Amino acid sequence: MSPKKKKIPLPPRLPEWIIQKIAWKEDRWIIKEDLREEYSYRVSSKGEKKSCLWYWAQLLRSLFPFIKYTVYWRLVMFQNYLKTAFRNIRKHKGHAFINISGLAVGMACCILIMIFVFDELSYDKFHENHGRIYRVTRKWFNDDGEVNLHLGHVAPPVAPLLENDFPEIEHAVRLIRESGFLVGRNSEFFEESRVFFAEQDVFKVFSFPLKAGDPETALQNPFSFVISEDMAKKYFGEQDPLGKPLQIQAGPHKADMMVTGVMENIPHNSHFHADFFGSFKTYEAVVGDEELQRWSSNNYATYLLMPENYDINRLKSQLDPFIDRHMSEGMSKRTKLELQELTDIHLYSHLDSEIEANSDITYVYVFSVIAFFVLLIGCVNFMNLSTARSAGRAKEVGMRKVVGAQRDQLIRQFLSESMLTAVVSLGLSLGLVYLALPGFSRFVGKNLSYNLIENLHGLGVLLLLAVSVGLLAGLYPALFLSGFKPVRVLRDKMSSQRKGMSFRTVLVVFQFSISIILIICVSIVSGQLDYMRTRDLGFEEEQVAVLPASESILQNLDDFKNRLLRNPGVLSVSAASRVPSGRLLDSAGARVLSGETSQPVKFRIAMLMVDYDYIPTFKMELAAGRNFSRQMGTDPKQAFIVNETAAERMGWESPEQAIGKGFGYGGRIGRIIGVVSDFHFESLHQEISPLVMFLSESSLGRIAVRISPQNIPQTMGVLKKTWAEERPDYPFSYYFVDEKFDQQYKSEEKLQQTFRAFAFLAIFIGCLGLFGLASYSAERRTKEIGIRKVLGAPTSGLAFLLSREFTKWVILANVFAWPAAYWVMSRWLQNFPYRSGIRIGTFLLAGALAWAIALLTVSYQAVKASLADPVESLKYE
Amino acid sequence: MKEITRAEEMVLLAIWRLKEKAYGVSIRRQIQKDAGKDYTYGTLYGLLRQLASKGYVHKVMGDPLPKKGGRSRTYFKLTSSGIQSLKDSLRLHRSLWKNINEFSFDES
Repeated sequence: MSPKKKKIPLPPRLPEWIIQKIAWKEDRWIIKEDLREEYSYRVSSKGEKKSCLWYWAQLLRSLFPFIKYTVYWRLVMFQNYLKTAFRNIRKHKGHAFINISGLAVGMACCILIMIFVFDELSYDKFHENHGRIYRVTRKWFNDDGEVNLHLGHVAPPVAPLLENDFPEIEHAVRLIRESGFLVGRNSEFFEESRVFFAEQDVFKVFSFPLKAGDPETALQNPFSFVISEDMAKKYFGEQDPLGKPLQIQAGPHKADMMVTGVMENIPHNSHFHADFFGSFKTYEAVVGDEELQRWSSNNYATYLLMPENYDINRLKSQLDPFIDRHMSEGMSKRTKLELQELTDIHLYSHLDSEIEANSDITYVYVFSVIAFFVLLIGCVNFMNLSTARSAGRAKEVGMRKVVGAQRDQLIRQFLSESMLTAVVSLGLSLGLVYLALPGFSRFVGKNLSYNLIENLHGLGVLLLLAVSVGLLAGLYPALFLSGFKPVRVLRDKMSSQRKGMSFRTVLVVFQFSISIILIICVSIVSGQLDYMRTRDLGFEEEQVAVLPASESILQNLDDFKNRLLRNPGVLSVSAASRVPSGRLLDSAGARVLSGETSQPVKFRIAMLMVDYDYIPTFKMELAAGRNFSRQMGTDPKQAFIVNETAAERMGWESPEQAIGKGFGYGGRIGRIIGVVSDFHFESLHQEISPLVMFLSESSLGRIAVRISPQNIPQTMGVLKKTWAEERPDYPFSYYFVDEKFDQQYKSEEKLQQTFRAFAFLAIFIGCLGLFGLASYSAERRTKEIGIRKVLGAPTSGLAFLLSREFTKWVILANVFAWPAAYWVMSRWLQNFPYRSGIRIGTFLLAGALAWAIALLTVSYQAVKASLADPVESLKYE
Repeated sequence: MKEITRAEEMVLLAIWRLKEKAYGVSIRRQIQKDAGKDYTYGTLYGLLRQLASKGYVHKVMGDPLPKKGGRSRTYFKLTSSGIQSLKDSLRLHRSLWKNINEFSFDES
């Protein structure tokens, strides 16, 4: 704009531009002009170069005062903003309550879930070497190349051979967990389920610090025992356990162990928890060398410690040749070894065998998304109410503008207000978290602590949360309110601020959509859960107790059965390798025989070793043929019963066709004598897999007892007594098949409860907002209602008038919520081979529920407004 | 009356001396001449803001200058309370330095 006159030399552009940017706004222009003037004098007296330098020096030396005064003024203004904010809170207590509590609940959810998510992500990270520990897993393939089994445990020769073949492996350790161990001292025994045998390098690979004992040598010798602190307390009290004996017993094996170390309890965020580590040499001494050479005994969790900065793909590419070399040439087509990062196990590993049940990254995502949305709903409340109240604040904005406030100052003012609200809410939410944490810990089944807040990192995250919530919630109201034209707001009544309506509608619709989506999710998850629990499993799962078998029982099985059956409460007894509610992990090669030809079966058929009474005990149905019979002399060696799925996949069109067909399985050859109707052996997460049953006298590890529904406690008493006579050394422990089945749906149950809790919270926060909004909407229309009343409108009609708006919003919200919920839930249901399906009724119901809740919230305000005395309402404003 | 700092005092005095012609460049030069202080514009305007907030000075838009391409200068003027504070300051100095001259410090 400035006309360029040759006479006046202009200062260098860059420093001038900088000064324009950093100087305070009101004086910017004056300073520039003054500097230009002086610059021109200097140029004429001292030359351009020196003046240029002088200008730069002016800039640099002015930086400090510029910044100092800017900060000072900001602080002064900030004080004023805070004062106004506090006054506002005090003046509009209800409004502030809704805002703060909505935000606080949202934040509390967010913090709880953050604690949970950080905990989930922290699994196995306490190991010093966590980045370079790998677990070896093993896969098996069908003939058609499909994976039919993937175990987290491998055969015992793998670890020593790997260590031998690949010198870069620093340590390879095997762990084996044995269940049903009795540990005792002075002939007082307890059943312990977390007994592991581990090679001595286990403490070099994993960071399990020892409180007493030397990690180098603790597991060196046979019969040494490292126990956890808790166990030291349990067995030795205050005594020093080092060097003291402990007896262990498992089945026929007994051993005297000596405590050589006490380790700190393994933290909860580990993918396995050991209370006892016995030295691997103990295990070798007991089971013998032969077991440790078997490639078919895949029970050993095997971990490798690799050097730092090692490219793991180098080792991975060597594993197929390794299998070919040590098993037999070409074996790598049928089975492969894979490597899994230690820190991936907890969230990403869902193998057919795991040491403990793992979690799932999906839940981490789902939880995080829900937390985010609940928080967002709280923020939306804030935006909604702040803009809805704009009429009340418009005068203040007008006054501030008239006395010279700039728009950016007003934005800053409203942002400081929302930040203040956010910070107060944060404080409140910390209190809520503190109260809710114990319950939440119990719910997610882990011992979560507040330490997120103790460390600086967590504190930073929290402050960031508060600031971003403040920004998110405050930005729109700040922009909206600061945009008022002072003349208009000061002259006119702000009663018809229609401008903010559309965006506010979007926000309310959004809130309702989220609530409706959550309601739909809850009901679909519940539906699926109910479906899984009540689906006909193909046998009668109620009133079947399962006990562990023992050598002595199996030797006199008929005798044992008869003794139990003498009791009228016991209906049927059977021994088998596995019972429904477990997994079907054993299998062998199968083939169909006809005449001289033998056709191998290309898919996996799981095996189940049973006795004569298995099918009647579980009340399974036969689709064709007969059950095993004691009258048939050939049955123990040659009879097979397959399930319908197996018969169908082997190509027989009807169950009847399968009867009498020649069949070979593992080392057995015989005929199919029966086809059992499909039943769910595994949980409903698994499809019914092909299955073959045959008689066996060994490997029957479990005894199933069907008892009559009457007098269950008495029958259990008898069972216990018989048990005590038979196995005096072993505590009586049993479970019921139906309970075990239900336990398998725990994670769905968790999901259901989570959804329910968060749906409730989301709706609660949403309702708070709606309540506030409705009250303002009613207040705004006070005069209108007064006039309508004077003219004779009935109360009910007025209430309807006020509710109509919200009904529109809820209907719109449904339009958005339904497709979203459908998309999410149909994807979730795809995880289940047996699913309940999505019914339109669920959606209608969720919509209706949301509408009812909205109406209930609004109606209080509507009724209040329509009952008000018209004389009062007409005086309003 | 709030007390004023030495720096504020110097700015006030400079403005008073310059009467009608007190604007950024001249104030800075005046201070340089009287007190030998080379204030930057940053410092100077910081002080002027402070004084303005205390109500001692106020800005006055001057007439457009032909020399500067039709732009006007912004002049600073003392308010009555500004003048009062200078008087207070003078009185304070007088009473503080009463009966003291350079020689008074020689006798230990």
